[in-house]
Amino acid sequence: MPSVAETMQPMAGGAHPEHLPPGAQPGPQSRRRALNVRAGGCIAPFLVVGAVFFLVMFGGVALLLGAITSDVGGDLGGPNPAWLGLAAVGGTALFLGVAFALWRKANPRRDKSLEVRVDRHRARRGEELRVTVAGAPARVGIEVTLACRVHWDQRQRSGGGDGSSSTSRMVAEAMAWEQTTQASPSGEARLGLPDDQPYSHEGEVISFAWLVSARTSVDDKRGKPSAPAAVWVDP
Amino acid sequence: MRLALELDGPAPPGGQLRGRVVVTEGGKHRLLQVAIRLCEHSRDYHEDVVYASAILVREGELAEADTFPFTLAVPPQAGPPITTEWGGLAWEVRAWADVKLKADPEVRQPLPLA
Repeated sequence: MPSVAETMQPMAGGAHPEHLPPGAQPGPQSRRRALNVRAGGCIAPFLVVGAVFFLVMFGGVALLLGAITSDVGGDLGGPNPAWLGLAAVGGTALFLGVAFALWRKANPRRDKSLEVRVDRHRARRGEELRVTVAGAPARVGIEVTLACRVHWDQRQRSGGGDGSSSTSRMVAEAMAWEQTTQASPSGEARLGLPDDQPYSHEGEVISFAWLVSARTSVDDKRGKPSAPAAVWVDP
Repeated sequence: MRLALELDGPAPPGGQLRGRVVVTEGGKHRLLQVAIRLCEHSRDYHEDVVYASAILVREGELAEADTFPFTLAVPPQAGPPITTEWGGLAWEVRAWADVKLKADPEVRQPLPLA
């Protein structure tokens, strides 16, 4: 059986992607996607600065106009300070919202107290994995999810205000398959890799990755997912 | 010009694929090649990546029943085809001739894996 590293393209430097097990290297599409996510994470702080600037500019002008109007005691014919104030709040919220969305994409919500360990990082379709979840508080349920995540290249069209349109190549994501099972009170679970689902693949246009994650559950309330443990699934 | 592809049988990933390209209708050509390639597609894009290839014969005239045996290394990561609603991938063997000012005749077969 070839090694995981043998089956994929080499990558120069950078953090190891979480959707791949140790030793596996990302393919062209994963490298492209990682670059986009990192770029989004880097842009977020500038958007926060932009939000503050927007608030100061529009909010300041609104306050200034409000002060002048109240001093003069009449309508000067300029923009209504209330509208300017509203624009300041709305624009700032928009900047902060986009910044948060980009930052969240680069830093997904995770339960950092949970740790998922798999008995091996490479298996074949149809085989069984043994999973251990550590760090869960006593007397809470533990759900373990085995999932096959697909990334595929998508053409995204965006239209300009003047009727023009442009297309860009984006990497979209979906769950091709997932199954959740309840772990034992000691945090152990057995997961079967389905033999009729995709195997791991790092490609140019489409990629498939297998991940195991866990979350706590108390009654109907489910916690945040843990960081995933990656498994390379061979055909 | 027309071609046919005959494979000796399935080959394991990392092994050797043996077969031959048979000319079923002769003609002039610039290059006759055979390759193992991975064909990926999503809803909007497709990409073919050649993993192993061989040039069987260079410029000349091919006659009917000319046969060109070949051996290609099967990539270790080769697997069965995957089809999903978002796209998929398939490994295939492709033989084709480069013909001047005409459509290149080609023949394809799914890569038979042991």
